[in-house]
Amino acid sequence: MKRKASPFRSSHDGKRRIAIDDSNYEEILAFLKEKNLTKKFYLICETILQGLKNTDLYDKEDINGKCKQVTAMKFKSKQNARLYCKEMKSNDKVLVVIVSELLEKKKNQKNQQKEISLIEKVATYEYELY
Amino acid sequence: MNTNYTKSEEIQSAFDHLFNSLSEEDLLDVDAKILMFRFLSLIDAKREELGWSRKELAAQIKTSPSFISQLFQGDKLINFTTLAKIQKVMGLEFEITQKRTFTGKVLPYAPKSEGGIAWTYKTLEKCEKSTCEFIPLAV
Repeated sequence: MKRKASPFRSSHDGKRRIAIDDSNYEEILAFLKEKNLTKKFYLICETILQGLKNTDLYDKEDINGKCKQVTAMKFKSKQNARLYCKEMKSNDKVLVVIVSELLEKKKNQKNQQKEISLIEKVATYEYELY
Repeated sequence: MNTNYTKSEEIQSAFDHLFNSLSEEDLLDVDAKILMFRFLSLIDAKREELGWSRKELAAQIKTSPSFISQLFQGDKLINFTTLAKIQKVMGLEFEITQKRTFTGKVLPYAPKSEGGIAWTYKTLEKCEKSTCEFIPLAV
């Protein structure tokens, strides 16, 4: 069954959009507020929307062939949290980054089983956009 | 269908509210960091081209690798002296341009006929740079 995602921010030229998984948005929103990560999240969203490459903040998580569309927003300095995302193209050819799953704390530099499972889980998600 | 529309609106409103909680100072700081990232993305591309590690870049400008990481993570802002040092050691030269956006008022414009019954369409004459930099205000 397809999951649902809702867009909440678009680039000025309309070529990029950020959306969030409808089922997980409350957990993610509460986490951002609780850990005081709103400004960092806004910075990461703007970096993506303006098409700037910054792998310290946002990068591919293509750990294997199945996970090519999975990416991560990185909150390294405070919590070392990750927001795993799925990139897809909408019918109107807009690049949509869907914030899918939260990892509250990444404990090791290398991906451990917990992270790998989460990344592979996101890779299986199929979305219906609103 | 109606329920989904409501959920979508609820999410949009929740994120609008979240971002509206940022102060004017926070928003300016984000703008400054985005500006810095424009420089850093060029610096990083050049670093890769030169085959340097970030540690090497740090050593070249006599700073610590953690300071370089803090810049890329948006935890610190670069200053112009550091930027000048990077330019020098990497053999880079930044060129500044201003993005032009047209903010004038465009009035409805209807072309006039040159007589006769049918409209005639003419090929545009060669555009001279000096006359084509701005969109003319149609009056």
